[in-house]
Amino acid sequence: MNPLPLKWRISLLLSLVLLAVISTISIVAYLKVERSLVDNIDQTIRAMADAIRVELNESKGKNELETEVRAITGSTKYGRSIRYRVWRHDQQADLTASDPPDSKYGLWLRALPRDSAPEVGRPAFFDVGERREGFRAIWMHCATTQGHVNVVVAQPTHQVFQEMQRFLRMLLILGASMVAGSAVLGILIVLWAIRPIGRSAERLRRITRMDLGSEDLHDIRVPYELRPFLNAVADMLARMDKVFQQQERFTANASHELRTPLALAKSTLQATRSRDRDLQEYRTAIDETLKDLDRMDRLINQMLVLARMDETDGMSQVTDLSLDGLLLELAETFHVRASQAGGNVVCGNLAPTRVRGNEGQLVQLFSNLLDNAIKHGPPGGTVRVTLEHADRACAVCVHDEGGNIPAEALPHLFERFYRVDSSRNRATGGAGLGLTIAHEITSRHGGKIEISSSQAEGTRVTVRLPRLSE
Amino acid sequence: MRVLIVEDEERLARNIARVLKEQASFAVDISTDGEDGRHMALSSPYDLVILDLMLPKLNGLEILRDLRSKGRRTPVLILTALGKTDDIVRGLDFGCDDYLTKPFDMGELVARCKALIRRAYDRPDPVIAQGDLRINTASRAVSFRGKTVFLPAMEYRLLEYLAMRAGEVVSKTDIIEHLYDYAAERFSNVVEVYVSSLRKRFGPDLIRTVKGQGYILGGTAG
Repeated sequence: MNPLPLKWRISLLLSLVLLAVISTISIVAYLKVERSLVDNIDQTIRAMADAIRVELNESKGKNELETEVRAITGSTKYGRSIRYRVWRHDQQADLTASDPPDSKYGLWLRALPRDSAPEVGRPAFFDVGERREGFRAIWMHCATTQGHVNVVVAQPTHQVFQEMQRFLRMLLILGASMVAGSAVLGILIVLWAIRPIGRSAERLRRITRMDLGSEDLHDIRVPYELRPFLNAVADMLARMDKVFQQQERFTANASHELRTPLALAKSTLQATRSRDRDLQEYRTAIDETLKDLDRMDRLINQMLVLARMDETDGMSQVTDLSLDGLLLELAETFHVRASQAGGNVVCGNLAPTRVRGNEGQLVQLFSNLLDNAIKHGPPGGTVRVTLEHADRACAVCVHDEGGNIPAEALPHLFERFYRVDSSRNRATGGAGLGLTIAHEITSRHGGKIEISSSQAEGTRVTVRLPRLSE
Repeated sequence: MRVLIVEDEERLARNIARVLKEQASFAVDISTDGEDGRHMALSSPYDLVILDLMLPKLNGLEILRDLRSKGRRTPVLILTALGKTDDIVRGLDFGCDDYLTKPFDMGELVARCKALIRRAYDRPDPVIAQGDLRINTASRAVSFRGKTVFLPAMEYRLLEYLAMRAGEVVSKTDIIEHLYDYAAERFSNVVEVYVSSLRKRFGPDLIRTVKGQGYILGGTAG
């Protein structure tokens, strides 16, 4: 599923937060303003009621009182919109009232429940009716010279309602425009903030295989926060470059190794075929070609072994096996080969050892080592195999009397296709994969392989493997 | 024509040498390592050097650079298993004249060698005509007055070399250096023997002796 683009998400988030803040502020402001408007009305009607009470104390005649009260309640601002009623507490009849008893307002002024009359000196404020046609009223119960008198003054609140409507409208417009503004701002901020990413991407797109290694991306101007990201990308490019180079080197080496015997075979056959030869020449040509094919065959097998090991990380077909037995058998096999050239393979001390591993791979490992020892040792020399215990590990040592590996070559011996003699001349056979395979197998078995070589001591390859306790 | 092969796969070098001798009548020397190869390439006037790149002791490109920096114009054909365009471009940039990747076709190699030598002698036409004599250096067919003549290898070698430099006086030393490889036994009067043999076949005027200087095929000098 495609997630919402970042700009929309940020803009939405910003708008929501702002909406919440603005709403809270607006609600509080709205209530406050309404309260203060109502307070204002309360003060006005309270003042009117007080004025009426003063008039009552002066015991004026009914008409006079009516005129006074009319004067008090009539205002230039609200006109004759104020309703009032003044009556003796113990009588139904009005001393004075704004509306006749049978009119609409007269009816609700008289419908006020008698029992709920407030105490003297503690006037009660209350709301009457719906908002649009509602009133804010004060009911004052006062003791005057004419006895206990009730005064009710009510002022219509539609004015307040209109004020509040206007205020609300303003709040809504203001709030909405702020939210909308923040949404737009959010989008702009995101677009602005991700611009360096776009620039970097543009730059990364232009990187080709050729400039992988030389690219450090330091010339791209990005904000401080993005630098670690670009550094990581640059690191990745460098690693990719290394992998590519290894791959290319491997391909180049592999093709060289395969092409050389192929060229040999082809040249032999073509040179022989170019005219009629005697039988012996044909035989020689065929023998030589067969040798070339053997060489290719060996190389392809080694490359397949490596490729298969590259494909799988773990080990398969693991069994408990006797390492001394395996070595003894191999030594005998290789002794037969070595003795053809007057050399021999002997076993020194072979401590009984059991290890856990893949038998085929271990045979391959020690075959490679013995093969190297016979090939690189002096003709007719002795190859010695020993197996010793060391703590929880065991050490297999294959020693030959050669010792002609230069010191500077030692660290590279396990690299693919590495050969001490850079000529890659195949006089001794092998393409430089034998030790690579040996190294790979050893590390797969949790072991270590090392080589030391000197004229005096000969060449010694030591393989350390974890062993099983007895 | 004398060719040097610098190639560490000795059998491959021998195969090439064999074919060049049999099919092109070239004198061929072989070197199997870089240092030796450089020494040989610098010390003898080869008509062509066939050069492998991955060599013991000294890389083929180094040899090529040495040759060129010392002003040698010997055509160089690089023969290597490195088959990438980069490698080819690098070789050509170092001053090689042609490039073949292993495995290669022997016929193609021989044809390229001949073409390189012809170019070096400024004879783009493989057929060299001199009076009644026609020498096809590509097929090694020689005809005299319209009739095909079969020449022994050494005589052909001499004739071809003189024909390549027709109109020029060629010294005896030059002839010996271009006709024989190191392995061949050299007799001091061998050039005279072959020249007189050629004169018998094609008449006394084809190859003239310039006293104290050498021989000339065709041309007017004398």
